[in-house]
Amino acid sequence: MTDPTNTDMFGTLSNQMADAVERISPALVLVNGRRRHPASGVVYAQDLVLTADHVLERDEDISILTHDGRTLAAELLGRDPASDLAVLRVQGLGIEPAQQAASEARVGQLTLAVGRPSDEGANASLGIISAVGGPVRTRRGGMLERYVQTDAIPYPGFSGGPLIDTSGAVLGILTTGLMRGVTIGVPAAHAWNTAGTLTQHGRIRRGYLGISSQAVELPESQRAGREQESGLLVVRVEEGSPAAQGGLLLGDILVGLDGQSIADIDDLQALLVGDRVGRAVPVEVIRGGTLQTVQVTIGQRN
Amino acid sequence: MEAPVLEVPAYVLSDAVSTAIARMVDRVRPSVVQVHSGRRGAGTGVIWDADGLVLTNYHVVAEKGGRLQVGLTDGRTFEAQVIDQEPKLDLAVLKIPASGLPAAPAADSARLRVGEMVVAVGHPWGQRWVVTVGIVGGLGSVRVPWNGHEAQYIRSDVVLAPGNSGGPLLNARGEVVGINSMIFGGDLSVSIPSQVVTKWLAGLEERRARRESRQQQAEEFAPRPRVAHGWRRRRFGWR
Repeated sequence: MTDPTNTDMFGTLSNQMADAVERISPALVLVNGRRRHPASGVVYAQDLVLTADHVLERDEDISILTHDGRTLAAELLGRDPASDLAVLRVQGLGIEPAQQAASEARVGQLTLAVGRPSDEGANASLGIISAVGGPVRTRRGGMLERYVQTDAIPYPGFSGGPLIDTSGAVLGILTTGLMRGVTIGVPAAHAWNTAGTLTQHGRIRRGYLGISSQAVELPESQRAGREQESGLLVVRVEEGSPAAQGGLLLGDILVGLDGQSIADIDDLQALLVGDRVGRAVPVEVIRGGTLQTVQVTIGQRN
Repeated sequence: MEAPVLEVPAYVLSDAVSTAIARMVDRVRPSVVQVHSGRRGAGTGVIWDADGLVLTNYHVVAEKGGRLQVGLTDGRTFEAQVIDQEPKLDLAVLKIPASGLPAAPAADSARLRVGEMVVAVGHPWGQRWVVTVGIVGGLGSVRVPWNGHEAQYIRSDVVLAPGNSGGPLLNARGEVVGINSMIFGGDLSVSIPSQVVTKWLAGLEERRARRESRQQQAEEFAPRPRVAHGWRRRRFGWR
């Protein structure tokens, strides 16, 4: 019993995957930013390379190696330890940027982890997208709004390289520095966005209030008319901090910021970003059983 | 709101791929053999020609003195002889007294591409004819730590375990592109490219002739007393 559509299928799939690696290969670069262990990066725009922050152990004397064997000096434009991304500018790179996948990664989708850990060509491993989620708190103290997780093996030197789909488009940027023991990637759309901010500002603006807090349950009788079941009890207010200046007091229970409700620390962290930093925003607290609103100018963390 | 309409494709691609892999493996399985060497566990081998040449790793047959046996899928077992071996390449070629055997087709490993799908068949932990699938992860050369030689390799993410050694790495068409050998291992799987194998096998006759003439010469002179090397081999042997 021969059925050409069936017997050929494995070969077709095999060819497509090799094609995908071949397609991404020119945009895949080796990044020299630490001693002995090179990492990977991907050309995502004209003369710009996205890579992982943790593989750059120095700010200067960074170089890249291209698919056609050129070693070029790279300038560090910006880095964001929280999402483990960094952007390099390479003058005269002249390489067609990699394509971002048209839609977000789906759980179960086939994916290839690719890297250029040596001068012996692109390397790859096969897996599926195991999870798509977020926000998640990372090992380096930041919040990642979205992440993709894979079971493809991250060989040494793969950090900073892309996770691609079977057409060679980028699903995410691989990192092993964010969560211990699992291989995750920063989704392409998020990585491209972060890279845009990094090229403009050099870093991602993250705000702070200057309080220590603890999540507490709110019994129905003490919710002061709000629906949420928990809030953040302020247990310390740093002297001279944005919170102190705005009039936040020890014992206040934080329940909202800028119109969004806050039920735990992660909610608060997720809100202290972007253009809220440096701006006065309304902060809702339960004080003495009643809801009050104070204005706090969110400080910028250095 | 209307429920989204599920589009059902005419055929399911993943089923077609699964069927294709299963058929390919069915075709190749008879070419994959078990290699038993003395007290050691089983390794894997691949039938290289119909007249009984079987290829495996050097480290599978390295122990001297034990009986070497080759087991086929049809249940037959043959006593095997080592015809030639090369520790530097981790290759050995055996001969079994049989003919009309299902030889595995070989492909040129020089045409392999990173990302291509590969299949390993072998006996990990003594479990028979186990199939694992992955892709070619990288191609290149590596310096072997203990002899300083450059060895060419195919690395892949197919799962290999002790017992897989000496078995074939197949491409999607079911042709042998490498011999699985984990000795440079770690968390990645390493195979010896078929190119290296065929080049080594091409010199088989020449090496045999050279050995025979050396033996003749040796017989003409008085034999030298032998030095016992047993402890040494055990200490530095393959593990």
